[in-house]
Order: sequence, then structure tokens, then C-alpha cells
Amino acid sequence: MIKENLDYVKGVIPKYWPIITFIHHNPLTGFEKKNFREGLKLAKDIFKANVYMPAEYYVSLYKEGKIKQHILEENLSKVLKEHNLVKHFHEARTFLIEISPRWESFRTYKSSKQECINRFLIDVLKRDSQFKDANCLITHNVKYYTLYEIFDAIFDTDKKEIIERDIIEYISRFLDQEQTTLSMYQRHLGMFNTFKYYEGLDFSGDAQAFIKEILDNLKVPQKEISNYFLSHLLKQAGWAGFIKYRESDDYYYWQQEYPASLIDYLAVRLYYEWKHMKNEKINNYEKLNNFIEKNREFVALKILKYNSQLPPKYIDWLEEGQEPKKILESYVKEELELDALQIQLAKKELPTFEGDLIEFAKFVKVLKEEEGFIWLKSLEDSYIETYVNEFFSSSKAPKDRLLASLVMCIDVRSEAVRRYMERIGPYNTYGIAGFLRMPITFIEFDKDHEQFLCPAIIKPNNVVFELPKERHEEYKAKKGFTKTLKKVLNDLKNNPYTPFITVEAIGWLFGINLFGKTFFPREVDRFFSKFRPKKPKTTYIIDKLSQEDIELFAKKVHFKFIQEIVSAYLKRDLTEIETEEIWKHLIFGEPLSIKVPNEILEKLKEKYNITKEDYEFQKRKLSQVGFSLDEQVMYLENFLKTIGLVSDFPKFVLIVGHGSKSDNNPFESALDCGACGGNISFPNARAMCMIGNREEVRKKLEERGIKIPSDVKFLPGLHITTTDEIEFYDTEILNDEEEKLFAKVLDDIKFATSRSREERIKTLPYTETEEDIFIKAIDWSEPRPEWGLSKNVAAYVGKRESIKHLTLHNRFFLVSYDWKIDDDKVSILTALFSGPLIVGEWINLEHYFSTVDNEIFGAGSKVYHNIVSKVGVFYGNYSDLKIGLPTQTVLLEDKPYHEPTRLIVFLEAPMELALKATKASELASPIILNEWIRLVLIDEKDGKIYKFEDGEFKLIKEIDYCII
Amino acid sequence: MEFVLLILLAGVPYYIFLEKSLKKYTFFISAFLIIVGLLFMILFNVNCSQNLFCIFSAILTSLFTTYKALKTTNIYKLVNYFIFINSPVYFLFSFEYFVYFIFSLLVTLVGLYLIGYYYEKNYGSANFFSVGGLALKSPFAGLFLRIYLINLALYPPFPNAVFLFNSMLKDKLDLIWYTVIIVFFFGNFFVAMKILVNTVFGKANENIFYIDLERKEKIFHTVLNIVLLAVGIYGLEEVLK
Repeated sequence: MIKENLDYVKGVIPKYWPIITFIHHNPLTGFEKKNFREGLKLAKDIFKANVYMPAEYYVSLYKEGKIKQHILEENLSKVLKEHNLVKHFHEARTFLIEISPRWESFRTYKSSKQECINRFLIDVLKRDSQFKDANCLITHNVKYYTLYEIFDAIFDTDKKEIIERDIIEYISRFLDQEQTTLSMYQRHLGMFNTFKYYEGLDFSGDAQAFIKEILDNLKVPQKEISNYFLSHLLKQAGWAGFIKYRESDDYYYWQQEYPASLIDYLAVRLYYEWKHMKNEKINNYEKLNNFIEKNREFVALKILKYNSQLPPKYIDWLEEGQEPKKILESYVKEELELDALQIQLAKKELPTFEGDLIEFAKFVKVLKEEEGFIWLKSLEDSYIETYVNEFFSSSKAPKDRLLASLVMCIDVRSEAVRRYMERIGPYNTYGIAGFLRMPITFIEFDKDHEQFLCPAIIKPNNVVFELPKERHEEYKAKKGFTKTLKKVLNDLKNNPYTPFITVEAIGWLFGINLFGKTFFPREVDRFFSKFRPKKPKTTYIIDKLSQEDIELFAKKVHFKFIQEIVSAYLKRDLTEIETEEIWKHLIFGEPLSIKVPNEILEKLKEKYNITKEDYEFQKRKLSQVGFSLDEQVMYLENFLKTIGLVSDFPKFVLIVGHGSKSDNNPFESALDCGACGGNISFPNARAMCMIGNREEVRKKLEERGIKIPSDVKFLPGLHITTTDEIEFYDTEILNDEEEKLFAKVLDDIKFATSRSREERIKTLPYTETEEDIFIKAIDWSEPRPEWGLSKNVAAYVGKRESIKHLTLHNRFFLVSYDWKIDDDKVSILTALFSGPLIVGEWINLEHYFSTVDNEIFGAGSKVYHNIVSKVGVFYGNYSDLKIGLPTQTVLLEDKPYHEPTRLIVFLEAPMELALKATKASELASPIILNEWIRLVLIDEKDGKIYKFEDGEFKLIKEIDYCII
Repeated sequence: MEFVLLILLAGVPYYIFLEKSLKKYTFFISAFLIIVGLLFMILFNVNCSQNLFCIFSAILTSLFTTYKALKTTNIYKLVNYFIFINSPVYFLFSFEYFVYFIFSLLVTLVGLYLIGYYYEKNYGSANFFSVGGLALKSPFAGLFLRIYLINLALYPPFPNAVFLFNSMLKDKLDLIWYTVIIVFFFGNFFVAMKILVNTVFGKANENIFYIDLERKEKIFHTVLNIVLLAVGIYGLEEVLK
């Protein structure tokens, strides 16, 4: 019963991924089953958040000409038609543009004294509002309130503060990922079991039984349980979102080690609620309801006060001890009068409105409810109209062989570089999601953790190891030195006796770094880079391991532990044969001729996990290393077909991954590749290039119809988006002649990136020169090293030729797709829908909601952030985990820099293919059909452009110039 | 004579007669009582700095007033309370600094009173409980209120703090002084910070339509601030002497 109730509501809470691999996501994912407009209405009610920008924002865009008049009128008419208000069209337009931005100014105490208010209107307003009676007011205002919040409201206590602090204290310590040096004891038992130790609870049951017991104590009515759970989850939605993510990711290391679940989290929350409430006179809903029954007006007033809804005058009266009934009556009267006054004054400004005040009130209600959507849709439609008129030029693909094709991520930040490259030489460019449709688990050289380089919705099946291919003594020495230094400093810092002496003795050394980084960042960075260990040249394991190798490596780890432990016991080194014998005994239960005490054997099994299960697990993991030849061919084929590069290969195919660089920035990974789960997408590019350069792969690919000439070279590059620098790797495969040609490419790339930086200078605050851009990447006080994906507005899925003449100001996700190459099952388009489209929508809506209500859906200002448990950031000493994007990413001087719109997806494909792919993609289907993205279909075959709206494709334009 | 002064400066008439039927103008009566007390001191040359009974009573008044002040969110009430939170100072300060301190305090409280009036005019009452985020929504009102509160919270180099420190430097500090400083310093600080945190900062209330100060109000507050600045500069000069 408990689980079912939780399952019923947990969809409302968005998942939150750890900040180290920041995953852009739609905070309203749980609402995507509903139509966008309806979903937002519901979310507004639950989260008590803004879901659209205020009217004055849209009006300013309208005045700038970004929102076109005829489009606004069209959308307004449509909404008015739905409500039978078309006859008031002109008044509605005036209301939206002129009155709505000043709407609140009509509702002032000052004007209430000057106006005569219509009594009948007041009666009508009362009928449909929360002001009907005290009961109505209470019910309306305590929706999603917990018992302790209502208690706080009534008795002016601070229970919420205390309870939430206790909860955050516990969960942040339990969920800690080695931020603290003193970890919580017994965490491996799981969140709830550890909690029992933590609080000294004598309870033998599980979390569900515990929750049930507390719900019984609190006497929460049966039918209200799921709502009560939601109320609790909403209190710290960020933490709940992170636990929800952990619970859903079986591969997450910390979840495997220290399991946590939403049920456990609820048990913790409810425990603290009961702990702090049980000694109060009103400690359950039964008593609370009795109290409310006897003091209805008083409770209503106190709740209004708690919600900051009670005007100051009535707070004075409450303080003075006046009779609650009279205060409430007076309050309700005044509120209704102000509501009526607002309507009356607005109507005065619309003298042409034909109808009485009551009709006007209904008219205003509709407009106030729908204006956000009308404006938003008008803004999107204006963009759609502008762009569809600009797409397509007569530019044709060049006849001569190209020198290079630049394949970059679909990320909006690649647009400028691609545009300049195409304009300055024999180059063309392609866009594909940074993981290149090749999801991999990457294990970097000298790192012991895995990175899943693919969208968060995919789990990779192939592991790629990075290994050094040259001697690296200097690296080892520098690394060892840095490691030791860090350890010593940490030990000195964390030892109770040494910090003071350390600061006294060597504190000034840190001052050099502090002042140097502040006043001479470039010089200091150059200086310290000499001490940083330089990674040796490396290579990737691309081929699968043989069965013998797999068994050998799987055994090797076990052997190491056996030798260590048993040798220590026997006080002599074990021979290889002896080790193997012990191992076989432990794994297969074979007889053992050496005398090893049982406790040692048990220790090896229990502590070091030398078991048959672990052996099988290791083998399974090792069998995932590399790719089989067929897999290599498949991934290369998928990659080439997806971007449409199946013939006319250039001399160089440059696959460029991307990442960002900044200092003192917990949100750095939000600037990395979204399609690689908030990681740098270079490993995918490099692995793909290694595969592409293989003779045997090319041979097999030729059999499948794609012939790559033997002189074509695939080269991987890394685009640092903060500085717009692109560096290429593995160039040693080029011969002298190729090197000369490639030098020309590098020069042109240098030029293109420089032009791109010049463009970005104009939009970044406090940036005058290119040098300023480089400094931003290393400046530790810089809260905005780059704009990232801010201002993203659309995605173009189609041929680059259709839009290459346009300057898109880094606002488009550019996805290469040629429907003529797609197969009968539309597998390429389906894959694009299921991967890049979802990632694009998540990025777009993360930006949207972080802009419209940064306090609820965003992360607030970076200035107040502290890193907590190494999973995210919060404010001060304790607060909810901050989800979403910080203000510095979406706002500029408190005004929105990002223009919040839904992602407009321009898709070049015939309608039947688009329909087929929509149907085939389970993930994309709801977001397309429910309009969480705006799909615009460019059907070259029929020469028509449609937009998807109200469940159907509507023709918006016939193509004058058809590329076919 | 000390007893009369105690009645006037420690808020006895206020608590007995005025508190329950608080009116807008009550502040002026309280201020008038203080000024009358000041005149009594001049006319009769009274010095209470050694009168333990007076000082102890004033400390009690200060503590009681701080408690009351922390319970209310009405600016008119708080303006009165600020007068009596400072009661012990009236008895302990040397006469010269008492005059300056009273002057600076009353100018600040007139400013705060006018902010209360601004609240009443625009939000229906001088109660700030639900009027958060003033600094963002009504920046001028937020700015002036911030200055008055920082002065009341005894932040140097604002005049109230400057005269307190001047007096501390001039007088011989003893246990009574320390006690008084602790009581009235924390009293002023906590009450001023409570207002600052709740109304100047914090989240703006979406149910309220914020209106900033009108032009003539801005001019008047600017004049008050210039006066405070002049007094502060004078006080600083005194310290440096």
C-alpha cells in the first residue's frame, strides 16, 4: 500500500543527476504524458511556480518585433474561439498588450478608496473563489502542506526549520561521496537501516512498515496518503530527485555501495516529523481537524499569514487580539473589493468592450489564464515563420573533392565555427550527437572510474580503455609528487591538531596562488602548468579481448588479493601454483592441499569478494571491452549514414568532440557534451576515428555499399567551447604530403575559431578582446565562463545545404540527416528521435524552466552555492539540493538572457517517415504528440511545410524552391 | 528628580497608557517624553550615571522592550520600542553624548516612522510581515530603510555607533557599562536585523503590488540622511580628537 501510494506520485519529482556529470533534463518530465499546456497548468499548481514569463517580458519582445502581430492575433483568436469570446477580439488584444503588464497596478488600496465598487460583481467573484468560506480558504491554502507546516502556521513555531535541518543533516551525510573525511558509520546497510543506527531506533521492520506506523500515529486519512507523500517529497524536491535518480541507476557506484530509495527517504522524513510533533498537544490530523473545527476563522487567518497572503493591516489586528471572525470577514470583503476594483478599472481602459462587468470578469479570467501560452506560442510561431522563409538557398554541393569534412556535435556552440569553415575553403560540415551513435563506457588512463559517454537514457555495452603507448616516467613522477603533496596537505588540514600550525607556517604559499590567479591569471596558469603531469601519448583498446585474455585478467585481480593475504599469514611468498589452487578452491570448491585457516578463506570470500559470482561478473565486464569487427563496422556505418556521408569522401574526416574549461565552477560539466551524459565527447570521436582508419573495417563496409577511399584519413579533435580552440590528435598517422595539406586545414580552423570568438565577445559581458575569453576559462572568480547552451531556440534536422547560408548565432542544434539514405524502418530517424531529440528537449526545457522560475526550477545564484556531499550544490549550511541551472547561465543583470521557448524542431523528411519514426520511438512519441517540442516538417517530396499542432500536421507553407 | 527622569526615559507612561491604544502619533509622544527628560537634565543638572536603581530599571526596560520588539512586526510599534531599548544609555552617557545620541536616534526613528507611513499608505498597514524583498521591488524604500536599520543596529561609522564608542572612550568602563552595552547593543542589533532580514531582503510577495517612494518622500529621506551623515562626521571627528 505504501509503495503503491508512492509510485502514484513520484513521477512528479524530476530526477536529478550528480553534478559531476550534469544532465540537462526537463524538470517536468513527469508531466510529459499530458499536453504541454495542460501539464504546465498542473505543474504550476503543484510546484507553486511560474511556468511562463511575465506579460511585460512578452510585450517587450512584441514591441521589438520578435513576436509578429498577425501571429499573436491568430493565436489569440484561436483561444478566444475556444471560450466563445471572439467578439471581444480587439479588446483582448489591447488587454494583452497594454493592460496585462499593468494588471497588478489596478489592485491598490489607494484606488480602492476612490472608486465605487460594484456589489453584484463582488458576489459573482465570491461564488467562484476560495473566499466562499473559511473552510474553502483553509483547504485551498494547505494543499501539499505537512502537519508540521500547518502547526507552524497556527502556533507561530519553527518546526519546519528544525525538521528540515535534521533531515538534510542526515541525508547529506548518508549520500556523501567522499566530501567528508569522517564518513557515516554502517552506510552499506542502506539508508533506512543506517538511519535506525543513527537515531538509535528499536524497530525491526522495514521502511514500509515504519512509514505505516508513523502514518497511523499521525492519523493521515487513507485516501490522503499519496498526497501526503507528495507533500513531503515537494519539501526538498532536489534531494528527493537525486535519491530518485540513484534508485533508478543500478550501475551507479554509490548506490551499489550505499543503497538509498525514496521509501527510505520518506521513512526518514516521517520519523523526524513524528519526533518533533509527538509531544505537542496537536500531534495528529484528528486533533488538528478538531482544533480547526473549533477555530476555523483563526486557523484560516493564521494560514493566510503563513503564506504571506494576509495584508499587513490584518496581521496588526491579529496581534492586537481582535476577534478572528470579524478580521476574516473584513479581509474577505476587502480582497473581493480589490479583485472587483481591478476588473472595474481595467474595464474603464477598454471602453469599447460590449458587455457588463460580469462578462468582462469572465473575459479577463480567460485571458489571464491563457496569456502565457498565447504569448509563448506566438513567439515560437514567429520564429517558425521567420526561419521557414529563410531556409533553402540555391547553393549546391561543390563538384570538386573537398579537403576536409568537419563532423561536430549537434551542440549549438558549434554553429559559428562550422559556418566560418564552410565559407572560407573546400570544406563541408556535419552535425551528429557527440556520442556518434556509439555509446561507450570509457576508462581513462590513470583513472579508476567509468564514464558513460552517451545520453543518460542509454546504457552502453562496450567498454573502451585508454592505455599509454609510450614510457611515462616523468608523468608518474609528477603525478606521484602531486598526489603526495595533496595527501600531506589534506592530512594536515583534517588532523585536529595541525591546521593552525599549517596555516601559520605555509598559509602564505596559498596567497601566491590566490593573488596570482586573481591579478595575473594567464601568467600563473602558465607557471603552474609546468608542474602539472602531462599525459603520455595513449591509445584505446578497440578490439575485443580473447577468451584466454578475459580469463587471465579476471583471475589476476583475485590472485593479487590471495597472494597478499595468504602470504602475510604464512609469512612467505605464495607460488603461482599455490595461488591458483587456493583460487580454484574458493571459486569452484576444489580440494585444497595447503593449510590455510578457514577464517582467512572466509575473509577472502567476504571482504575481497573472491567468489564464483564475482569471477563471472569480472568476465562479463571484460567481455565488454572493445568491439567485435562486426560491431566496429556497424557503428561506423551508423555514423556515416546518420550524417549522410556515404560517398564523395574528402581527404580528411575530422571528428571533433567537445568539452569546456573553467575554474572554480561546480557546473562545469553542464557545459560539456549533453549527448555524452555531461562528459567530454572526445573519446567517442577518437574511438570512431580509430575504427574508421582500419583497413578490415573499410573492406567490410564496402561490402555494405559504402566505399571509403584508401587515402581518406579520420582524425579526432577536441573543441574547447569556452575558448573556441580545436586541437587534433593522432596526427602521426599522416604522411609528409598529408601533413602539408592538414597544416592548411589547421590554419583555416584557426581562422574560423577566431571569428567565432569575435562573435561571442559581443554577447559575453565584460569581454572586449579574444584574450578576455581565454582568461574567462582560467579565472576562478568568473561565474559565467561562457554562455553555454543559453539562447538555444531550435534544431534543424536535415541537410546542411538547406541552411548553410544562414547566420544562426549559435542558437540551433544542427543535426545532419538525409532521409533518402534512411531505410524502410526509418531506423536513422527513429534513432535521432530517441537520442538527440530527447537530449535537445531536455536541454531546452531545462533552460526554459530555469528562466521562467529560477527559484523553483533553477539553481539560484552561484555566488551563494556550496558543494554538498559532492553530489550538487545548496545554499549556505543546509538547504534543498539546487537542481536546474544557475541564474548566471540564463539571466544577465537580472533580465533573461535566454529566451524561453520550446525547442522548435525543423525536420527535413517526408510526412510518412516522420509519422513512422514518431510511432517507433517510445521516448519521443509523447513529447512530439503532446507538443513539448514544436515539430515543423519540411516535406521536400511534396514541396510543403507543416507544423504539428493540436494533434495534426497543419500546412504552413508551400516550398517555392525545391531542392530535389 | 531621578525618579521623574526614570519615569520619562524608561517608557513608564508608554507602557501604562499608550501601548494598548497605539496610534500613529504615539511615537511623537514618546519622543516628546525623552526630550522633556533631556530638558529636565539640563534644567536641574541631574546626573544618573551613578544611580544604580535608575540604571538597573532602565536595563530591565531595555530587556522587556527587546522582548516585545521581537514579537511584533509593526513598524510604528517598533519605532517606540527603539526609543526604550536604548533607555540605559540615557542614564549612563555623559550629557554631551547623550544629546547627540538622542538627536541621531530621533532623526533615524523619524526616518523609520516615515517608512512605516509609506507601508501604511501603500500596503494598508505599517506591518512588514508579508512585505518581503523590498530591496528588489522598491529599491529606494529598501535603501533608506537599510540605512536607518544599520544605524540602529549600531554599525560604525553610522552616528549611533560613533557616539556610543565616543562615550565608551571618554568614560571609565565598569561592570555596569559592560552590562548596559551588552543589553542595549544586542537589543538594537537583533531587532534591527529582524526587520532587515524580513522586509528589506527575502523573497518578494507575489500577492503585493510594490510601489516605491514618491519624489517628495525621496527628498525628505535624503535630507534626513544628510543630517545623519553630518552628525556622523562630527562624531568621527570627535573620536579622532
